[in-house]
Amino acid sequence: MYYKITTKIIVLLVVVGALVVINNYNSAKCQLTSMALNNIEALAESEGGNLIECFGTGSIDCPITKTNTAIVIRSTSIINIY
Amino acid sequence: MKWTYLMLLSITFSCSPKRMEKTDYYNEFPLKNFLKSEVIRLDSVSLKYPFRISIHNTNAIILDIHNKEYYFHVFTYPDFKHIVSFGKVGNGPDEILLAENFRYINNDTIWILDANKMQISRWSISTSERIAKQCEKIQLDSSLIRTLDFVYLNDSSFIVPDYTGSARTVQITKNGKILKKMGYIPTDNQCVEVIPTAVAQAWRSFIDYNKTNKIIALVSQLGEVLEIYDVNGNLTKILYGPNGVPDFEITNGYVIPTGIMGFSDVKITDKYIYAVFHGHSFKEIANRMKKGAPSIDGGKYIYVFSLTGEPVCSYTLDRYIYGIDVNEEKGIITAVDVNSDEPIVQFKI
Repeated sequence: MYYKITTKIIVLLVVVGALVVINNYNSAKCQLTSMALNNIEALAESEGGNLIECFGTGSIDCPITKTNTAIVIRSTSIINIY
Repeated sequence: MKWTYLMLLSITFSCSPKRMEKTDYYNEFPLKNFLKSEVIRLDSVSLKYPFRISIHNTNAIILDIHNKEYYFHVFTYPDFKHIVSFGKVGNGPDEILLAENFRYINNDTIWILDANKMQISRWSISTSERIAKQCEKIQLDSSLIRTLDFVYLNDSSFIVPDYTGSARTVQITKNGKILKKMGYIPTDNQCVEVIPTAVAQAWRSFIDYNKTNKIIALVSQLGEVLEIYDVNGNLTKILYGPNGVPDFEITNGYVIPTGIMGFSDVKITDKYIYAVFHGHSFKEIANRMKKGAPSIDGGKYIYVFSLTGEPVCSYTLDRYIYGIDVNEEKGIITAVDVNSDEPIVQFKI
């Protein structure tokens, strides 16, 4: 009887732990990606230049200049995503 | 053993991503048609980037978001003779820093959104005297962060798309204060929990409201998503097209669009929802810019949906357009084209 209850509790704890890890995985991934990018770009910024740049005439809201532009890209000082 | 299963079940549900209720998908439309444009010639006004058009009785107003002098231009309708331009570009008390949209209720009430001043102002126009004047100014609650579109709901409130990531839309009072936040961004992207404002930026959507059927429609600027809500912000339908949700990267809290330009305008009439769809990839846009090739900006498609969100018809156009005004009774869609020196066109539907 004692062993049965202990086994149940262990199984339950393992399942709960696994679910919590799975649930947090994507959040953590998002956070880490963002943090990693911030670190890389903090270096780029310290050498001068903006983190992102906006080009052209369009309707995309540029978060830096608060104007409407055609495209938003990472600063040309680092790898261009396009 | 029962309690173990119950606990496991409740944990599983609480750990699952938000369930996307009332979700639907479309790949094509039951009806497809081609529409040929008819150019309307302008005599005296040069428009740089006509973004929005709205027609009321015998007048039309066009918002030119990249004009150096005035944002708004009033014309007679249907012959498009220029009457007056207003909304001087600038930071002065009666000037506008960044006009993003307007709602033309009548000649005494034209609501204008200035995104950079965080203001909605009411203007009136006298077509006989050829003047426009600002009548009132509403300073928007700073906790909205940024407002890029709005609809006039009734005499006491507006609805704006949320920019904080904590909701989908926000009802605000005529004093600019938040009355209530409604809905949530229809994404299971976990970044919404971590960097909500960035995800809200990526989900920037254009909004329209129809007071007859009391529905609100949002179309995504990136990707291909149509959302329909009732006036209380309750979700009726989320409809994903073949291009799906907005594709983007987040850099230092800012969004970099990486997928496609989606919709650029939405209009709800008494019968249908009309949305202008682009479909150009940002890679294609960037490559054209790199090569110095002339840009092709705008959408070549008008998608028509029922008021409950079923795909009805897809119109392929003979040119690229941005904003539209739909007159269902007369069977006319009037549109603006940012690529042409003859920027006003109409289509017979």
